[in-house]
Parts: sequence; structure tokens; C-alpha cells
Amino acid sequence: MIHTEKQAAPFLYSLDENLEKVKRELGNSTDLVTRQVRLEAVDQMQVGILYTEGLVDKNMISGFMESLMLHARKEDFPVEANPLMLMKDFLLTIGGVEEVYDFDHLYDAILTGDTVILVDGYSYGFIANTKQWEDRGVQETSVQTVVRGSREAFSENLRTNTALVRRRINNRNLWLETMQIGDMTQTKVAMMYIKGVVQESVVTEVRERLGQITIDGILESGNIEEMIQDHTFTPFPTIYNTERPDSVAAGLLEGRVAILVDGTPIVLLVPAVFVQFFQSSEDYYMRADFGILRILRLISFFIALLAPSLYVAVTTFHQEMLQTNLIMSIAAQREGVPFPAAIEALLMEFTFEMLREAGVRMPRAVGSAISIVGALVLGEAAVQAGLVSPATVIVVSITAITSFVFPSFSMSIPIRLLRFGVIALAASFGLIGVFVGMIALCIHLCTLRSFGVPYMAPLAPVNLADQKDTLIRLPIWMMHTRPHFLRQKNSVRERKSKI
Amino acid sequence: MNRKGVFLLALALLVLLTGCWNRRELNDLAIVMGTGIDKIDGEYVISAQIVNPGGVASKESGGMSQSAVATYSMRASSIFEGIRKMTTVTPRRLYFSHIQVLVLGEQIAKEGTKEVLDLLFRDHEVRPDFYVILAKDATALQILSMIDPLEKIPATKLYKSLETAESAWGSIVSIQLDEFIADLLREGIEPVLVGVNLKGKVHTGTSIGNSQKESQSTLLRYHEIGVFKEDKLRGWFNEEESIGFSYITDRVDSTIEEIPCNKNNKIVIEIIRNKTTVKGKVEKGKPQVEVSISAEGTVGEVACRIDLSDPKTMYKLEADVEKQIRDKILSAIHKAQKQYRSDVFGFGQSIYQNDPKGWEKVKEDWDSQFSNLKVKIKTDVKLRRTGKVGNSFIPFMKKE
Repeated sequence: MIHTEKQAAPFLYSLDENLEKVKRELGNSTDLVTRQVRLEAVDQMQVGILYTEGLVDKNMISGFMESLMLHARKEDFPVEANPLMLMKDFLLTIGGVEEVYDFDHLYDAILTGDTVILVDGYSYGFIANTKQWEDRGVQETSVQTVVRGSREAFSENLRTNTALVRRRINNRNLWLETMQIGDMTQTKVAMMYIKGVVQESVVTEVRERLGQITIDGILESGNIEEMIQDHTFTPFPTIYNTERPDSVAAGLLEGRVAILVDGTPIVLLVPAVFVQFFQSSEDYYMRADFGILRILRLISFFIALLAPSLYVAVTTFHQEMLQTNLIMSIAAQREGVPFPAAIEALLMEFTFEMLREAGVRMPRAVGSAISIVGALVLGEAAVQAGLVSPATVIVVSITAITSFVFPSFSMSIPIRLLRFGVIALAASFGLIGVFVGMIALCIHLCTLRSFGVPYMAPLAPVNLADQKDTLIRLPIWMMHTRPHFLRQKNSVRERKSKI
Repeated sequence: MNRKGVFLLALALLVLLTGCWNRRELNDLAIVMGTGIDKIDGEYVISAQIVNPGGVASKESGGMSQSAVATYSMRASSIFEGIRKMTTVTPRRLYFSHIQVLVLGEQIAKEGTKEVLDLLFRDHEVRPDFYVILAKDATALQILSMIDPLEKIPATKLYKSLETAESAWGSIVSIQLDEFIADLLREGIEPVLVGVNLKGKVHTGTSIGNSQKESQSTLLRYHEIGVFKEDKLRGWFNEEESIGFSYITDRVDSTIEEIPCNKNNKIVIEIIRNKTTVKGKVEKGKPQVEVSISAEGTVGEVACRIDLSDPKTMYKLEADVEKQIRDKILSAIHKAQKQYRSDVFGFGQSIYQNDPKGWEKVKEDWDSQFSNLKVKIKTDVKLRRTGKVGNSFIPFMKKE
């Protein structure tokens, strides 16, 4: 049974009994180390050391034990003094030391990599911060890659991640709040924001929503994202996620709140807006004219969403809209194809989605087999067998390429989903269906909020000053203010230079 | 949640249960590229040229490839009836959105085109931006059936050759259905249509063998301009008059003028640019029209001994070209005024535009006013260049 309320069970005076109890309550787990040291020099004083193997820095512990056993003399521990207090001197080499009085805190400590030191005859002990475990370290970005810009990516270690952010913003106003979420996992979740820039109500809201989470375990920031997002009935992501420390730093500077979760390299940023998912951190590192690429991404968004449905609508309802030569070449391709255009498009889209899913899930070793089957058999052979028309293959390929254009992968998921819906609309109502679908989508997007910020801001509601960083990016020296839709306390980002 | 689910289900059913209303798969359509309408013994003969996409786009060369088109025709008492009746002979439903040309038989043009054009203008499927041409001395069906070696689809041949000829040869004008109807309706202007005729024998032109020979025995040729009075064909402009007509209506992009320089030889001037302005007004109850031509040309071909480096020669050439253009214009105006009494140039329209009050006075008996209209013609031709060389090499040849 999980006990949600902690009933503090105080230590016993006997070291043996204490150690026995710990062993028993942790089920004699084999990675638990309980050492009992008898100090010959100090009146046979018995010291117990508890830690979990694999989570601690062994050098630190052996250094401590060495100094205790070899160098502790009787004069160091006068009878009238509290030996535990004195023992702190031997722990000086270790950074954080705090006292512990009950078993619950003891469990928390040793299970997160700290070492607990108990002394026989005393009902309290010390926690020494000896956390160290194997991790990947800071590695190169693998999802949100850029040509120009930092290559560092977050890793699974919360402390490393906060350090990566702090290294970019050396300011005392960069505040960090940590809480533990997950009754079982006790996952550390950290909120980072810049005091004085961020809107206080957003911080309060984030803190409140995080506080309301009651679940047994948080394994990834995605769990947090689902628990705290505003609308659950939308395919669109209302929380931004990134693996790039510089993106997080930029978000913090704009007045956003970052949520870091221990054990995952993906960090959340709130509030998020629609256009944010079309922005790459590279947009800001290359010269401003590079920012025009955002228009390309927006066009890709529409192609990825609409290309198959427009193809279906035009070839089955509005043949008069195409140029005569084009309609003839499409008609020639469709000669002998047994399926209606809509079924054909759905079939190919479905096949492509399956290939994509297989490509992500399959073991690396069989990768080449899948790509051969996918590229050759389904493309060439399907066309040559007359099952699908080459035009459909081209449309599906274009759709596939454009759906990988977005710098943020989470935006390609709603497009993949909605695409099928729009194809159905196009197949039943033609372009009218497509347009009604687009209007409905537009209305839906405008109703979304992310932590109080309209999702379509700064496009709807429109803010002229914020257009500087929406569809295009103006040169840095023209961006004097932070995005207004985040309603920061301090929106000035660039002082006017005095000339 | 439950209510929401029911609502969503209803919405989904709304979409799914409608089926695919009005859905037409591309491979169930017979795309009509050209239509012809003839009148024989009081009945209409409608012909439709349907493209066979597989035959057009087929990449296999040589051998017995599929025919690119199929031309069907049907006799009926009305055009709509004919089109619908045609489904009894065609495997697919006719689809008229991509018509490129409409060929009208000469007989229909003489009897009046208004009944014929209403359907094509009214039907939602037909876009009124296809060319209307007249079949001269042939039926529309024959014109549509002529096979050309370069263009697999005869209708496309008619369409492309019309567009090319219009920009390179002054006597050809391309008129689309909506322009034709607009000219029918506007005051002070009468429509024209370009005519196409057959050179050679019909039966050789319709066989696939016609496209396999190096030189074709049967050809289609755009020839002359048919002059209408209201919706009825009155007669034809010959080639000279057609060029004159094109000059007046500012349709000349580029054309050729030939100047005789001695008994047998000619100097050919290529007109490369032309701008015509027509100004009409009513003065003392008399309508007056002034046509000013300003053209630019280059010397294209010289077949006799003249000195092009001498400015005087050039001035004389310019004056000759001006005179020639003026002659063509005058002959066109004369024929329209005296023989057809039809203001195809839109002189009335230009009076209406420049002098609307004056137009009110003359519009009642515009036909007779037009026949006696004084037209002032100003021509200004500038010869800019002489091509790659100055003088011809001919004077430098060894004397025989």
C-alpha cells in the first residue's frame, strides 16, 4: 500500500535495530548497502552507513570512511560532546549535509542517491549528498537540429538540464522551483522562470496545475503535458516542447515558464502559441532574411494538410478548374485505375503512415528491408500494376515531405490526423467540404488557449507590434519588445541605443 | 460527454450518409475538346470531339498506338437534345468544360447563330472562353475530323494554330464566345468570326494516314474573316481586307507588308508593333471617325538593288508601307460600308465612348449613317532596323 500521508517513524536508539528495520522495509533489496563500522579509536563507537549502489559516488564514500577509520582519534570526540555534530567535520569534503530524524526521510534520501550516516545510541543521523549516477551526459541535438547554433541537447538528468539553462542566463532573477510529483516515482519536476519578466499569474497557474497532479508515476514530460494542458479536446499541442537549452532560454527571456522533468530530455515551455511551432531557433541565429523561411513552413503546413484533399476534390468534382493539358495528363494516368480518387488517396496516405510508423518502431537492423519495400514495391510497382495513378503517388510524396518541414515534430501530428478528415470532406463535398472544414478548423484554433494566452496570438487577436516575429522575423535590432501577448511585467527587451 | 458523443456521431453521419453527390471520376468523363454545329435540312448536326487521354499521353512511339480522339456526331432538332442523344453512342458522359473551339457551319452562320449560342452560354458546365470559328465551304464535322501530324487532337490544332496565326499574321482574329456575344449586344459594333477552310480532299484528311505522310495532301487553313450583321453571316473579307480590319481594331501584333520595288521583286517589311486609336465624334449632326495607326517595322527581306543606308530610301519605304496599310484599311471599310452595311469595326462604339451625346443623335439610323461615314485615316510607320545586315548582298554580286 502506498501511504500518501507521511507518519513520521522516528529512529530507534539501537543502530542494529535501525539497520534491520531499513533492510526489512526495503525488502532486502540487493542494491541497498548497509555498512557497520566500529571505530576502535573512539570507544568502539558504531557508525552505520546506508546507501544504494549505483546511485552514489563511491569515491566520496570511501574517502569519508577512510578519514573516519584512520584518522579519527579519541581526542576528536570528547565524552561531553555530541559525536554526530563532530562527525560533520569528517563530512566536510561532501557538499550538502543535513540532519534526518525519521525513516521516511531516510528512505527518500538513500533511494535518490544520498548516503545516510547513523550512530549507535542516537535517534537521528545525517544525510550526505553523494548523488552520482551514470547518464548520457550532454549530447548533440538529435530531433531539433540546426545548421547554425548550439549543438547541446538536454539529457535525462534534471540537474544537468537546469545547469544548461542557467549557463545561458546568468541572472539572479532566474528562479527555480522544484517539486516532487508521482506518489510512487517521486519524480522531481522543476519550474524555471525569470522573476520580473514573467507574468506572475502564469507562474501561479503552472504551480497550481502541477500541484493538482495526483498520479503514481511521471515518466516523461509528456505525462505532465497531458495533465496540465488547457484543452484536452484538440489535436493541436498547446504546450511547446523542446530538447534545446537555447530554445528554453529564449522562451524564458520572452516571459515563458519552463517545466523540466527529471528523467527526460524534453523540456516544456508554457504558454505556447500556434506560430511558435513554426519557429526554429535557427531563425534567430541566421540573418534576418532567413526568417522568410517561416512563410515556406506555413505553406508546407497547408500543403501537408490539404494536398491530397485538394487533389481529390479537383479531380472528382471540379475538373473545369484545371488547365486542359493538365486534366488530360491526369485523366490519362487514371485510365484503368480501379479505385475512385478518394479511395486511392486514402489508401496511399494510409500506406505511407504505416511505413512511417514502421520506420520509427522497427529495429535498426531491418531498416533497409522496409525502405526497399516501401520505396520500390509500393511506389513503382503499385503504379505499374495499375492499382494507383502516378499523380496520387506524387501528391502523397509531396504531402509526406512537407509534413517534415516543421521544426517542431508535435505540429505534424495534428496535421496527420486532420488530413484524413479533410480527405473525407473533399470526397463527399468537394472544395465546399474542404473550405467548410478549414473554416471549422480556423474557429477551433481561435478558441484554444494556452495558460490564458490565445493560441492564435498574435494573429488573432492581432497585435501589430508582435508581427515582427510571426510570419517573418525582423532584424534583432528592430525587435525592441518581448511578445506582448505573453503580458510580461517588463516587455522591453532592447534599450534604445543612445546616439 | 454522452451528449457530446451523440452530437459528434450525428455530425459524422451527416457527412457520411450524403454519399458523394455529383461526384464524377475523371475516368468516367468524356472530355470534349471541340464541338461543331451544322444545320442540314432544318436539323442540327452536333459533333463532339472527345479526347482519349490514354492516346494523347501515351509514351510509346511508333506501332499502332491508340487514336487520340473520337469524333461523334448526332442529328437532332435542338442542340441540347443532340448532346443528350449522343450518350447513346458514346461510352461516357460528355463533359464540356474543356472545349477549346466551337466550329459553326456556314449554313448556321447565315441563318443566325443566336439560337445555337444560347445553350453554350447558359449551361453552367461550359466556360465561355473557347474560340468560335466558322467552317467555310465545309461542314463543322469535316473541319473537326481533319487529322494533323503535329497535334494529336484536331481541336487543339485548331486552337493553337489560331493563336499562333493571330500573333504572326494580321488577317487572323481570334474571337471567344463571350467576346462574340458581347459584340452582338453592344451598340455600334457588329461581330466577326474567323473562317477556316479545307485545302484538299476531305476523305484523305480524316484518315490517320494523313498524319503519317511527310507532306499532307489535306490541310486546314485559317483564311478569311466572316462579317456578321447582328447574328447572321453577311459575307467574307478577303485577306487584304482582313488585314485592314485587324489594323483598325488594333489586333495586329506582328504582320508582313510587301512593297514592290521593281517589276518582279519585292521588299518585305515586318511590322513588329502597332497601336491603333479610333476616335469618333459627331460634328454638326455628321458622325466622323479618325483612325490613327502608328506602327513600327523592320526590313525583313530585300530582293532588289536599293541602298538601305540612305535615309531617303528608308523614308520612301516608310511612306510606301503607310500607303499600303491605308489601302488595306480603305478596302475593308469600303466593303463593310457598301456591300455588307455592317459596322464590324466598332466605329459607332467609339463615337459612343468619346461623344455619348452625339451618339444619341445618330444611333437611330446608324446603319445608313455608317454607310456614308467619312473615315479619316492617319498612318505613321517607323522603320527602325534592317536586320543583321545593312544593304543586301545582291548589289554586290558579280555582274552576269
